[in-house]
Amino acid sequence: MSTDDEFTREIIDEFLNDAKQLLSTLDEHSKKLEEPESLNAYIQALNPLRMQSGFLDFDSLSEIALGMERVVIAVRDGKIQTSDELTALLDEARLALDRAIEQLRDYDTSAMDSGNLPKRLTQAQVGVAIDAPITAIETTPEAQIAAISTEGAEDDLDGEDETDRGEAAQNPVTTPEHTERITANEPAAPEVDIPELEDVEVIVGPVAEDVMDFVGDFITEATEILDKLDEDLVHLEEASDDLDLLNEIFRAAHTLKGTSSFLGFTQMADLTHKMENVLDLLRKGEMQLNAGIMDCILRGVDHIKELLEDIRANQIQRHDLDATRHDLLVIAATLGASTGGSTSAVIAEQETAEAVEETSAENLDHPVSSASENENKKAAATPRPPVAHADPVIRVDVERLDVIMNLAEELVLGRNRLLQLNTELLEQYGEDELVGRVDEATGQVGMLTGDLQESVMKMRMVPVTRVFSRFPRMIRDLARNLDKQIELVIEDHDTEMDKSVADEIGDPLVHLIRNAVDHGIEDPEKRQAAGKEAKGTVLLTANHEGNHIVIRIRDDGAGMDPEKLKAKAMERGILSAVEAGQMTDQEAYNLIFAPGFSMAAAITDVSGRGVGMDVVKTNITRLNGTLALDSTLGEGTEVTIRLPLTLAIIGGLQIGAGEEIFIIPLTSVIEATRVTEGDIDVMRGRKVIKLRGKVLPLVDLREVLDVPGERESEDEARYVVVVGLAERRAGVLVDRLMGQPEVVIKALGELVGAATGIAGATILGDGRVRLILDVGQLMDLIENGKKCRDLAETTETA
Amino acid sequence: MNSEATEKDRDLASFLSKLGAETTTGEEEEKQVEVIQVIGLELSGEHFIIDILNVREIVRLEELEITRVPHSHYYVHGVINIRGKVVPVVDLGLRMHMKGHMRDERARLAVVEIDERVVGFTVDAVSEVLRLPRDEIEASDGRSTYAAGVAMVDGQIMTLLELSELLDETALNTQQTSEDQ
Repeated sequence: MSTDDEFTREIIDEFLNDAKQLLSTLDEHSKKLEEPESLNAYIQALNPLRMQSGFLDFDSLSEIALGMERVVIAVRDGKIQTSDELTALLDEARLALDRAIEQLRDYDTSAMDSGNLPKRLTQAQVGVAIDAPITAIETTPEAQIAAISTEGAEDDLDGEDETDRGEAAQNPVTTPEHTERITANEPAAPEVDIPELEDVEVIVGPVAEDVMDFVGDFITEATEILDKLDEDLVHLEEASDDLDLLNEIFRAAHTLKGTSSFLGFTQMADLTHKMENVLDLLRKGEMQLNAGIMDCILRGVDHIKELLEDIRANQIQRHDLDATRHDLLVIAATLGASTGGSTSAVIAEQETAEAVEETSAENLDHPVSSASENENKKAAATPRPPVAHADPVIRVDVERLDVIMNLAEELVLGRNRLLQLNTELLEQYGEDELVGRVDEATGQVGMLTGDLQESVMKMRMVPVTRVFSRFPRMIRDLARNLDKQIELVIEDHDTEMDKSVADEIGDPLVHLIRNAVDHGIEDPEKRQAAGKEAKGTVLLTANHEGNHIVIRIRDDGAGMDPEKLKAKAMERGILSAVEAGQMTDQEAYNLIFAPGFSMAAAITDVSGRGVGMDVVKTNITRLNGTLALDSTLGEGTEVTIRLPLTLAIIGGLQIGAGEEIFIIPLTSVIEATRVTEGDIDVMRGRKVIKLRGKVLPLVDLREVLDVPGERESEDEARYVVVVGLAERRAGVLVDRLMGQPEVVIKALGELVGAATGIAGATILGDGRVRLILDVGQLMDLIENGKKCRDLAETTETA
Repeated sequence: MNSEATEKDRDLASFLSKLGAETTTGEEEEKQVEVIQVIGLELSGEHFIIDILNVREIVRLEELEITRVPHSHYYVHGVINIRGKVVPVVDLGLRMHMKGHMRDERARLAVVEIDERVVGFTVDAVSEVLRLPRDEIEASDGRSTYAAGVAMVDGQIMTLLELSELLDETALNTQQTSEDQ
């Protein structure tokens, strides 16, 4: 593939520049490899060469560089001795590098025929391992695998151990006992198996300063890869023969390995390397995926996430990963050998050394081009994208976006002020021609500001898929834990949401989905008994509805029994018998959001601590979202979450109470209705109104916010603004409705105090500060007031 | 920048000494006391000073439209718009457990900023800008956490306020137990 793309040429030129320097470093040290300093310098020059060429898909180059690197590392670690033969080989490889680079100079990125050079480099690398397998076992995992598989191949000749090993292969290594069993059944790997795990050198503490600049990008990239990896791996389990997917996963692991080792995150590099080995065997069809292997790989992914968290916190710690590392190693060794055994008749006839070399070669990061069959297969399966893949996406620091967002907000305030002044100007000097032109300009500024604000908001939008991508993995783990069969169907309709909302919504969704799986979906037997399919379905959807994003989680499980919920709530002391009697089904469903409420008989890993739903409610309340539950007994439950598209600039309903003016976030407003004094009832010391048959508690703003100013007459009509937050609904009693300005929420600032019922402040067009009401806190205020009164009532009657 | 200035001073010193003029050397000058600029405030007949570097602006209190904040601390009058920013208005007198400010034409709002936190303090009056050598400010006797030091100017005792302490919401509870009104 030769390319004449401008961009590619630039990249190649840049690479060639770097390579030139690295090669001269190589030449400088190549004659003195017996000196440790030179050896290290040699390795340090090879490593970036291999990384960069690998990154740019210059396969021939990276392959040779990798081979050389491995050889010199083996020398450094004392596994092999320098010899004339070795020096000659390295020189030959060095020349091959030259040739590959020469070829690149013509912008020819096609693979170069490097003959059997990579093969011979590998031979050199494991040379001693063949002569003395015992020392090899104590050294590199590759050599160990090679050694095991060699012995395995020999064993397979007499075929005695086959059944045992096959069984071990099917029973994946998840517990120490399992591990021992495999070890015991594996004559090639006596009890020295576990200590063979080489120590990974970990530099505890903050990330090294010289790589600090790359760490931010690495974290972003790794996070994305890991999210995708989880999703892909779960898909893979369902379609284990999907070669494209396997290759994708392999590449993801490979990228992680490359970058983490480049940045000196040794634990991650080691772990990903071991995972990569297993994935490579899967990819080449040398072993069949089963749930056990998948568990182990997923466990590895989890560990990588932990390690990534450390890096994010800039506090690298040593993690005990030996169990997983060991399992991965054993899987690679055992399964690679046992399934390879049937095809290994040829290998077994050959010299042992051949077999070692063969297996090791397969563990190379890039398949050798001489192994053309593999290469062809790979090439056919995944056509390489052209090197110059100009990404239309640019990464921007969120902080920078926030700055623009803030500026846009300020601009909106400025525009509002300008519009107001313009109106005044028109009123006073409307005839003046100049005023007319000012009016025109004001209108244009107003429009542009609106457009700018919208564009800035769009910049902050992220696809909801980013939040959803973790759920397939989660459902899989849960289903396995609970012995249930569950299918997760995701319909995200390319919905996007503000990043701040996306960051917060993950946790509540986790709890809701867990709940659906744990309490909703029944065991397969129960489902079949009820005439349902054994496999339950959880449907997760997202779409836009006006200025909201709506997320629904629906399961086809058992549904909720309102009576049982009430009974449980009474048992836990959350609910009184009287209250239970008055409760509608809808209200009963909402009981699950009460703190400390749990339907689980026993506290399990999945749920039962009664915290989850409370968290859901708290988070959704914080996001100014609403939450609605609907359930049909025996058919399933649906949770609907409604969230504002963005948090910063919101529509507001301006209302007047007494002498003061407040703003209610439109996201919480459901409707507004005119009421007279006669419509307002008092139930147990609490103001309520009946609205379409439903009893709605009232928040009288004058009362709860101590608003000064008397009403002119009692008969004057007032308004009830019906508000909703999470699962709660209430009516806010106000004197006037005064329009719907767009507002920017600002903090009240220092020292103000609790300011219960107030979410923040905004500056309106007239330059005055208006307070934005916190609907949730207002509801709390009346509820707490009610509790006090309840207490008073009970003491009175007592 | 400092070292640069010192070096220039040294050059100047050596130049002057060559001329036979008497002067202090750079090292001696460094020992000279730093002079700070402060703004004088009046509250219930007492005098306070605050470092001018912390003062963003002084506004006539009469001109302000303060928006009341329900359920706020008793010493908070409300919030106002200062150049597009929502700024709380705190009664400095009440904050320091003295009387509230007078409401006449002399009353001012001193908008102060510390560590990007902006608060407006109401005072009875703002007097003048003073230059005070640091060594004329004596350490506070520790009776009030809000006092950073005391200075005597023209026979008047002036208390230098510790603004960060005044802006610390939790500091209140150590002295005063009375809750919101």
